[in-house]
Amino acid sequence: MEQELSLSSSSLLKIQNTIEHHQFIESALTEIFFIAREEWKYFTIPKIEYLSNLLKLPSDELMVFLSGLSNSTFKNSARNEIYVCKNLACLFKGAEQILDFLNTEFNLNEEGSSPDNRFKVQVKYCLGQCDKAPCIQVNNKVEHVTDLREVAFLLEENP
Amino acid sequence: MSNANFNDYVCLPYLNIENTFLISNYKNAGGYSIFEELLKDKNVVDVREEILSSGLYTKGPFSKPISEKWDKFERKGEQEHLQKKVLIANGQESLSGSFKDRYLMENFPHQVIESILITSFLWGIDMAFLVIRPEYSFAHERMMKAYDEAMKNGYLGENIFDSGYYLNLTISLGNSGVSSGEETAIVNGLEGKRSFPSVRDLSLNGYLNRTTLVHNIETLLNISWISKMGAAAFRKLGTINNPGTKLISVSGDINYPGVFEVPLGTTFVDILEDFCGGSSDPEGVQAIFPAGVYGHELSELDIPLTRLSYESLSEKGIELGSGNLLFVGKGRDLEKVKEISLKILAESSCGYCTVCRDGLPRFAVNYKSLSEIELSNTLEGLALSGACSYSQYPKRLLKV
Repeated sequence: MEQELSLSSSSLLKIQNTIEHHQFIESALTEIFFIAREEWKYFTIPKIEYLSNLLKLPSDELMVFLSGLSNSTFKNSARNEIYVCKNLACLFKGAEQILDFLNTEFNLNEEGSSPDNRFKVQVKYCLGQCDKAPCIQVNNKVEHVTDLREVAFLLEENP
Repeated sequence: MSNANFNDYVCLPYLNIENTFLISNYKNAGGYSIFEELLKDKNVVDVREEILSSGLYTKGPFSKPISEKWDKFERKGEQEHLQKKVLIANGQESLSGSFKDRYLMENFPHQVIESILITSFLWGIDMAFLVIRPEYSFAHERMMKAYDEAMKNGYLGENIFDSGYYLNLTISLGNSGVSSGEETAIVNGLEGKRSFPSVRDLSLNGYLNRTTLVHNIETLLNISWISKMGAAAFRKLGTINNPGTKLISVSGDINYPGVFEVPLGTTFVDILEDFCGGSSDPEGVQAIFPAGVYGHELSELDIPLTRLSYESLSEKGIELGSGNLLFVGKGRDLEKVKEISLKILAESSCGYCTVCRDGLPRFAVNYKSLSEIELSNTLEGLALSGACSYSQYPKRLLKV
């Protein structure tokens, strides 16, 4: 439990560097939450309070900010988050086939999670890479995929 | 000595020069010279007048003459308590199908920094932000490296080249989602609030109550170019009423999707054949959505008769948006494409305003059952709701 409530020294260093770049800490919040999410995967009230102490900002203000931040979750849903882009350019190039493949391959439930908690698959309506369609986002990285084998290969790297 | 091609390109003069994401290559190609000249020689008021007289339109989805934005900014900025000004370079580019600003940040990060420097200097701004969409991690990485290089070389920070000018530039990540790219949403996010749109006059009550100017990256590059080349040279490009060029992000049923810079007034046939390598659908293209899912389509019959300009498209009641062109091949069901577009609009609402949050999903499911009058009234009602322009998109798309 103790371990869960703290961030690793590398994450803390990244947060410190981010804060140094920003004149006011408020404009750095998105990046700080992204750094924390990368390590924690999801947020809890004690984690928000930990960040509140670290950043010297009220926890309720952090909660409000976080509630509007995309991809942030308070549920321990999966070890890896996969976003499949379903913008028209990606749909034209096979986004539905990628979703079908993921559903079949990982036996996803209604919420898009695999039974072993390895993946949670969600849809996004544009990843801003339409010139490289179709695209998927694996955790924080957007990837261009040419075929389903490539999707499988990418996911193999994320146990 | 510059070997960049400023004669043919406004935004991409460094297109054919390798690795200008490195400051050494960028400077060898003539980079940062526009800013250096401005810093030494030019009267900023004259340069601002030159830009205002160029006929430049802002390059966002709701494009308008730059004078409209600058007049308001200048007027409010004259009030004493609002003399501290802020520039926000909008690299959020959250409209579905648009990726030109990502391309600029990934390939020409120093040019982006120089354009921020120029606009900031022209307005005496000492605080600037570049807000980048979170999915653009590579662009963010490139921009941060360029920022470090610019700092080391004295282009940012205090007393730039002993001029007494100071700029504090912060590169920040924004939030995902279409509405997060809206001006007020960006300012809210930077202030540590939820990055949702709100009813807020940024010239009066901008970032930390300062008067705030928000431009997207393409607009900033246009401002830089005009400050170097002048309004007369700008007016030689494009058409009489729509001078200059437009960066287009093209995708869909074409052979070469990507980002291209075309003079305003270029025909859509030329764009398809010369830039996009023709249709990838063997039967050809049946429609082009010049604003992606955010606007009405250009039919097959209209394609040869229409040019890519605000003027030519508005004659047909079509928007150019931010130039996120989607080509649809003849093998696809156009009604289905529109149905999906409405679903995308419904799903992408930020959910802040009730009509948009609840109205759009219901509309996307039921719109086919409405009579023409009901449809028109509903679209009108949707378009009038909300704190931002988002709910206007279905009206643009269906155009009843």
